[in-house]
Amino acid sequence: MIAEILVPGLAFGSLYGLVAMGFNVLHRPTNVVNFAQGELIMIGAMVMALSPIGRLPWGLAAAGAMAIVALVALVEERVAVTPVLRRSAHAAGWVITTLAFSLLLAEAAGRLWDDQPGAVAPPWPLSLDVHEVAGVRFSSYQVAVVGTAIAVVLLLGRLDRSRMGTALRAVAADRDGARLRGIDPTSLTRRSFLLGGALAGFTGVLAAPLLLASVTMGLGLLIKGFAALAVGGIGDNRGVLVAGWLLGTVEAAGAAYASPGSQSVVLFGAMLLILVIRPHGLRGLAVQRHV
Amino acid sequence: MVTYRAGEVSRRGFLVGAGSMAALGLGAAACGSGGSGGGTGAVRIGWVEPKTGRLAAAYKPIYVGARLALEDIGKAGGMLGAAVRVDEHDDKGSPASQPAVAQRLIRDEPAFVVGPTGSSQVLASVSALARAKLVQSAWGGSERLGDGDQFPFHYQLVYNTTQQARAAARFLYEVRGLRRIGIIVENSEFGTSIRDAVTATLRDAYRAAPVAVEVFEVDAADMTPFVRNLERARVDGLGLFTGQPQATVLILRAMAATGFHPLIVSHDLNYIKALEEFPRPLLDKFHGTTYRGLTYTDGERPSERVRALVERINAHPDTAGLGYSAVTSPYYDYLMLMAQVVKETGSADPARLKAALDRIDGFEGTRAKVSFTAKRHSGIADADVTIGTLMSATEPQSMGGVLRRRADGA
Repeated sequence: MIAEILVPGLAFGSLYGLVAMGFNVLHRPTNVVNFAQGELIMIGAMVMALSPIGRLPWGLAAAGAMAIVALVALVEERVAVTPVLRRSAHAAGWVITTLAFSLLLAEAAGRLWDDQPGAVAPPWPLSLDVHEVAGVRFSSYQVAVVGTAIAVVLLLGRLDRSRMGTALRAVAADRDGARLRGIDPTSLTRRSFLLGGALAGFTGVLAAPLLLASVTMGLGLLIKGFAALAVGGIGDNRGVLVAGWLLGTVEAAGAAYASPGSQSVVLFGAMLLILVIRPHGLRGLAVQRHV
Repeated sequence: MVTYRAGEVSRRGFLVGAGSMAALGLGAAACGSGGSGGGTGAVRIGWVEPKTGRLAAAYKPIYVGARLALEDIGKAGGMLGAAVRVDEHDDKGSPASQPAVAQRLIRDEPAFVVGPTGSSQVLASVSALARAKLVQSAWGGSERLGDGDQFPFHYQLVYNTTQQARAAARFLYEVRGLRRIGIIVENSEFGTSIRDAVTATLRDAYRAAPVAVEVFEVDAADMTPFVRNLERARVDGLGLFTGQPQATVLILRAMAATGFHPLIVSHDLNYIKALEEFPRPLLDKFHGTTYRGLTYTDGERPSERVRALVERINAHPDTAGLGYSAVTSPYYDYLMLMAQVVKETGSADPARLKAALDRIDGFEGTRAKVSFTAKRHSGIADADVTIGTLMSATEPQSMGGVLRRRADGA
């Protein structure tokens, strides 16, 4: 049984981790948790499944979906985030504005598409065909999703160590102070939203073959991605990926072992327990501020 | 008394005059209203449909039948000799919107109400509208919605979850002779009620019990563990009930991956593109509850009236490939029934309409005959609920995937 739940747990957990990484990318320069992240992911998946772009070769289609979602995220930054931060960098108005933007995206999706799910085939040579090795059942696509999530963590780590990453950390620590040092927080915010949007689009592209693309998929991913963020620790990409894996595995185990209908209780019970024991996240990186 | 000076009106006079006119207007409105109810002019129909929200496009096909019925009623001269007036209200497909929508409906004073759609929305709506004594028919499958004592002004023109469960259990146990029956449902009010109804039917009618019951969250990402549990229990007949098309496809995917192909009876027979990835033997075993009047066999085909309606549904722009949802919707039959009742009573007064509806016996609907009593507002007879095959959607007799072949023995 353990072998049966491990691979799906890691694969779906990788998706939750990627959602949480998207949160991190946007949170770093703005201290904003983007409540529209789930709908951005949904748009990425729907573009792959139901738009003419999805009929292009997989690489081009994925790039197109990422570009579209990145542009949507940029619009969000312009209309729902920057105006709020301009008034006060510490105000919490973004909770409402990003939520409102999320509702607008859901509304637009509801007008464009019906509730029928769209299937997306994995890119060649990957497939969803199940193989069994030493009692462990998996598909090549599930393995690829786990590998891709690890690669994204490494890439974001590399970005974090770059000049832009240093500037992002400076803005995160003190937006006004960074501006005095010649860093443009608005430009960095814009670039982060472009990157975060592209990552959300990519997450949707990756999720579509496993979850199917549908207008209702965003909320579930948002909640589980947020759970991974809380357990893994805000700003800690490695932590949120591990947390995603943990949550995915607990979810799969809950479906296999728990009494019918209690999977959510098991999932969020486990999350609560971890947060009680490790309030700063799995890796325990407490927020530090150098003065 | 208001006095006017020649050539000018004093400010006081103007205010008194305006006040008097307003009072007269209000008085007239109070005396002559009853809206469409008992007054003259167009019969008003309250209409609840999700126009916004993430599922707005998905609900459009469900109201196609109602729009076609309005066309038919218009061609026949309207109701009470005048064109009907439809007051459309957007409920966003949400139960939380229903009290506000109900307030607007009550203010409009329609003769009767169409919608809303979806069990949770309907339960919220009928509770809010019951106080206003407005005749209503909505698309909700809960058995309670057909209880004339509990909801005296709501009339159910769809089969309920208990009827659905009886048809499914009978087909699996009696018709196909399967003895290892499993159930997989979503964790919702609908899922819980139909799980209980199937279990009760197996117990009461056949002294049997399901060998496995799986309940999944509506946002479950992976259905494999549930399907593996069913396979381990050696289920040979499965009741699969969910309102989420995505969940159905994910369950079939898990079955395709494991090679587990039980006989399935489901809630939804919409044939969608996402099903094309699955092996034919799995899809050939997929069945669903439907209306006998919408099915065909080698020797029997649906009535000309049904076939004509299907052609119109297929031609309607809102159908968008979901003709099965459109034709199974109760709203065409409901509006045609109300047109008949308004004509027979010669009134649009809700109390008189209710009295007439409580005596309806054998109204010829397109999907099934409809009958009500004062206590029984569930209008569809058990005999009109049957089992159809999914893959018949690809047959020419299905008229573009709208009708279904009746399963052997059903």
